Amino acid sequence: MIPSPERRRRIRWTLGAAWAAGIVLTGCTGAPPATSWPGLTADSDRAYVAFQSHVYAVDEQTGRELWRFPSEADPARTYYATPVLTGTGLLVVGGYDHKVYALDVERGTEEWRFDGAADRIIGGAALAGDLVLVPVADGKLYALRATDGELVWTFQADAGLWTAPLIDGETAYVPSLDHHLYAVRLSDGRSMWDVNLGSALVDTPSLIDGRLLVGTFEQRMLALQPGESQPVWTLPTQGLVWGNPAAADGVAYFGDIAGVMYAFHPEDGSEVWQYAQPNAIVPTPALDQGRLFFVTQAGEVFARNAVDHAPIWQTSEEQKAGLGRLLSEPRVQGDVLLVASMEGDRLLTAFDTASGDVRWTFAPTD
Amino acid sequence: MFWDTFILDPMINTLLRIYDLLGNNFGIAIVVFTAVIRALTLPLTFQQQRSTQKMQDMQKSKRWQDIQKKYKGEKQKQQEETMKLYQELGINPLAGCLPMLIQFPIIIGLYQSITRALASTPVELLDLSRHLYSWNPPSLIPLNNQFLWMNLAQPERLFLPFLPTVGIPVLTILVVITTYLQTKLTTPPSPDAQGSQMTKMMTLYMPFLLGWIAYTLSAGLALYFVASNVLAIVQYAVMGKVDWRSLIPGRAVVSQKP
Repeated sequence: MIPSPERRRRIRWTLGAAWAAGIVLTGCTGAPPATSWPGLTADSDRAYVAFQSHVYAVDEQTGRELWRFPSEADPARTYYATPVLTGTGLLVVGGYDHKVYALDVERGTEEWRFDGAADRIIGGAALAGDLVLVPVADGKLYALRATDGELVWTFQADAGLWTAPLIDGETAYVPSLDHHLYAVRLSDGRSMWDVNLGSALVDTPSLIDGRLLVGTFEQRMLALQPGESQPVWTLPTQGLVWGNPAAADGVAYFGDIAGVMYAFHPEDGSEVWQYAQPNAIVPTPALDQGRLFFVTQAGEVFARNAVDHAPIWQTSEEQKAGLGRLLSEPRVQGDVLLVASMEGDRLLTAFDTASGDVRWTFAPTD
Repeated sequence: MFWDTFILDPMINTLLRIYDLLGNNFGIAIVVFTAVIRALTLPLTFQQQRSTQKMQDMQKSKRWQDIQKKYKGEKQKQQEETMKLYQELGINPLAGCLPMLIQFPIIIGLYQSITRALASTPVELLDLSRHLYSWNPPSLIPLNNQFLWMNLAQPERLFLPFLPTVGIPVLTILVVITTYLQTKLTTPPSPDAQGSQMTKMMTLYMPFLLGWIAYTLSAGLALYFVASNVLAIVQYAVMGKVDWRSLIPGRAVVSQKP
């Protein structure tokens, strides 16, 4: 039936309103979606995980929540940066609210706060002696005194810093979205050397046998001699590389988003083995006693023999949905593998490293 | 999946290609991309306008008004007679809606492609990296979000040297003004009081809605709204469809009876 002119106008009005509502709803429905993955760190007793509204401390034996910070959720404050332990009873974590918080590890109370940053803190901080180095999304690196949060110096890159710097002796290696890796002197924050690697750098470089190993969006792993601008060797990959390598027993391991896990000799980049599966591997793998643990974006956890990638255990199909997307770096603590999830039905899962059995899961309650 | 493969991915990759060709300036890329999409949908705009014009002409005719008066209390009969009139004059009453329906996903796709291309967080960047065509090198991302004084991935505020603590939402103000102008200048006058009331509501409602979105979401989107509004006004002006007199205060929106 052909609608009347009045009805047609109503239809147009409804369509117009729907168009506007569609725009609003696309970006504004319900709780804001997570914009990064959980930041996970651990000591011998506790796991600390920063995700969305809180930083949580969780008992490693039981999976019980010990404290959360802040105690009440505040929509203006979200946390994704990997927390760092100072070794003096403090846990330092940055927020999307542009602030750096030092928390008492026992109670989760705020001990000091730095509010001099001008942008979001996405990457974890790094501990360098009595300094905490905090990367900020506006490209500034802040060196704060670990004891009280006093600003000591700053360093400015040309684009955002999304990951913690690597500390080696008196130098901080600072990866930036401006494609550069900077070597910054810890005593005064001055740049000593930098190299353009051709694409954004989003993860902390690895230092193995005196060489910096850096994965790039240009689908390659590079080995650099600090102070030199040309790579020592280049290893082409099948997908872009987000997480940098972990190494043990003379072999280094990393994955790419095409789903390939690479094992190679760090001295020359020569291949030991490759293992391909279909799902993206984002974070750095974990190594423990000859076992390689890696996670995929599709919610799988793999435990493999590091020597020849022979299977030890892996998560089942049923477990995948509950685990959600696995983008955070897994951690081995004793005989437990800690895995942090986003978009799953829990935030943390503790696997028995030998059997793959789930010891406990942790899902925060409101 | 269908939406990503056939609408969003081509749009994102075209946007990134333009960004690359323009020397990595995402602000200008948004403006150019909006202009390209407007140019591509121009035939639909023409069709919609022709149909609207036909309908308006018909509604001004004596026959249509006679039908409305004669069958005022008989909605069914009124509808039947109106349909007969449509058939006689060769008017398809849905012809004006169809181009709008086709443009709807394009506009949403345009909006989403800008949001996704900005990728200002790790998850967004990771997801964007998986949607790149081979002709867009991965080194292109993340995009350079700086344009003039703005970070296009963040809500825009201008801090003046003499007013360092108060951020002025310049783009939001521009969005409100240009949306008002665009709605006022390009919405054809309605032949009756009810339609006129709806037009008035749209003229007030849309600027505030889009202004609120511009105030709270990324500056890249706000820039798109401004570009889209200005281009729409220019497009209608070139076609001679802009009624500049409608900006004069107090002028009635309801068209004169023939």
